[in-house]
Amino acid sequence: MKKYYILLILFVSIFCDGCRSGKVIIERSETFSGFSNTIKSGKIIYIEPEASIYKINKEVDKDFNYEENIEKAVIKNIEESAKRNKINVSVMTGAMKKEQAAGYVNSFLRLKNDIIMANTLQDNPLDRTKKYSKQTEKIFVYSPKIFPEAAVLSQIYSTPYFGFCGIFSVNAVPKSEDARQYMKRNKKTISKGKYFYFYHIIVNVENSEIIYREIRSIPTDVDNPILYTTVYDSFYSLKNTLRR
Amino acid sequence: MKKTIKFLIALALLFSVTGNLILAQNDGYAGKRILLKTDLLSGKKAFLTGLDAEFILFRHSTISVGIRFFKNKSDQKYLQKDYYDGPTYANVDKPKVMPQKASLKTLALNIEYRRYLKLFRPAPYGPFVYASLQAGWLTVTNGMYYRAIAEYDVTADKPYDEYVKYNYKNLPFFLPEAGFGYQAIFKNKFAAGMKAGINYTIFDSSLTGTPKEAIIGVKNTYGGNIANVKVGLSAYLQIGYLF
Repeated sequence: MKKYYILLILFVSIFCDGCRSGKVIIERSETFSGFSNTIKSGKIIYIEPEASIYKINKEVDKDFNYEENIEKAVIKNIEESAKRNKINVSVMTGAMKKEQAAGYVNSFLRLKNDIIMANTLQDNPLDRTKKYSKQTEKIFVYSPKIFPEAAVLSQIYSTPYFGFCGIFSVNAVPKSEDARQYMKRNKKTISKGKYFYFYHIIVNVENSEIIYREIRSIPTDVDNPILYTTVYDSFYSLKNTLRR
Repeated sequence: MKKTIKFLIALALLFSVTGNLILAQNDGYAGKRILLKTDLLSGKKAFLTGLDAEFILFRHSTISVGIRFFKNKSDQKYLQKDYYDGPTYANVDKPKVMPQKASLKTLALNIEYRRYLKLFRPAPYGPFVYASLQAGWLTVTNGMYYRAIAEYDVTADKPYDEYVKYNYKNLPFFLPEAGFGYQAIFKNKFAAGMKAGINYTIFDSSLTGTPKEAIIGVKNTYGGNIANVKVGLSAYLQIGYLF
C-alpha cells in the first residue's frame, strides 16, 4: 500500500513541474503563418537588445554597467540560440562598425524606439492575470503598428523581418510598499509594466506591423545561466510557432 | 479504497505525462538533455568511482542511472563488545585491529530521481532534493573477525577469543538514500555539484549465511555508504559535462 502513496507523490510532483515553469505568452498576427515560410528561408535582423533593470531600495536605481553586460550576453545568446534552432539571424549593434553606427542611429534606433512604444501601448497579460501558468498562445485582434517609413529598410537589408529582444525587471512586487515608495520618490510610474519579463518581438516593416510578440516571465536577479536558457527557450518557441 | 487509489494514480500519471509533454515549455537546460558525470568523493574511508548519466525528463525533474565501483584495502577493527555478550572486562572500548588487511569490492547500479527547486532555473541547475536506490554486489576477501570463546580467561580478565577468516563473494545489498544538494553549470557545459543525504543499507545476512560478526566488521571498517546496517550519512562531489 505504501508504494502506491510514494508513486502518487512522485507523479503529483512531476505534474506540478509544469505549473512552476513561469509564464509565457505568445501573441502573433493573423498574417504570421503566411510569413512563416519566408522567415524560415530568409533572415531576421535583430536590433541591439535593451535591458532595463531597476533596483529598488538600492542607492543607485540603475546600474548601467550591469545592463550593458546583460545586453552583450543577450546578443551572444541570440546568435547561438538561433543557430541551434536553425533560424537565420544577424544582430545589428551600433558598436559594430563606424559606418554602421551612423546607419544604426538613423534607421535602427528609430525602429527600436517605435517597437518599444508599440509594445508599451499594448496590454501586458502578465500584469493583469495570474491564470497563465504555462505557455499560452493568442492571436492579435489588431496587430500593433509601427511607422511606415521603416519599409525602406527591407530594400537595404533584403529582408522585411526585424526582431528585437529586451528585458524589463524591477525587484519589487506590484502594489507593494517598495514599489509605492519607488514611484513616490521618482515621481513616475514604471511605464513598461509591473512584472519582470523578457520580450521577443518580430516586425514586418513592409506592412508596418508587429507580427510576433512573446513575453516570458523571468526572475529579478537575472544572471547568465538564466539568460542563456531564457533566450534559447524563446527561440525554441519561435521555431515551434513557425512550424504551424 | 484500493480502486480509488489506483484510479488517482492513473489520473495523476496521465495528467503528469500529457501536461508536461503537450503544454509545458521547453524542457532541458537550453535544449541540452543529458549530463554525464562522475562521483569524486564518497564513502567513509575510500574513493568511490562511479559514472552517472542524468536525463532531464521535465523542466525540473531528472532521472539518473549509473554504475558505481568501490575498491579498498583496509584494517578491520573490532570492539570487544561487538562479539562478546558476557560480563564487562578491561579495555572494552579499545578497538582491536586485525593482523591482515581485508579488501572489499562493490559493484552497484544506481537510479536516482531529482527534483530541482528553483522556479526559473531549469534542470539540472540549482538546488535539488533527491531520492536514490543502489543495488549491487559486495565481495570481501581476506576478511577476518573475532569470535569469543565461551571460556573466560580469569588471569587476563577477558574472554578467550580467536580470529576467523572469511571470504564472501557477491553478497547482494540495497541502499536507498535521500537528501539534498546543489548543482551549478559553468560555461553552459560543465557541471559541478555536491549532495548529502541519509541512507539505509539493506544487507541481509540470513540469506547468504554471513555471520553477524562479519557484518559488524564490514560496518565498522567501511561504514557510511556501503555496508552500514543502520542509517548512515553520505556526501558526494560530482563533476560532469552537459550534452
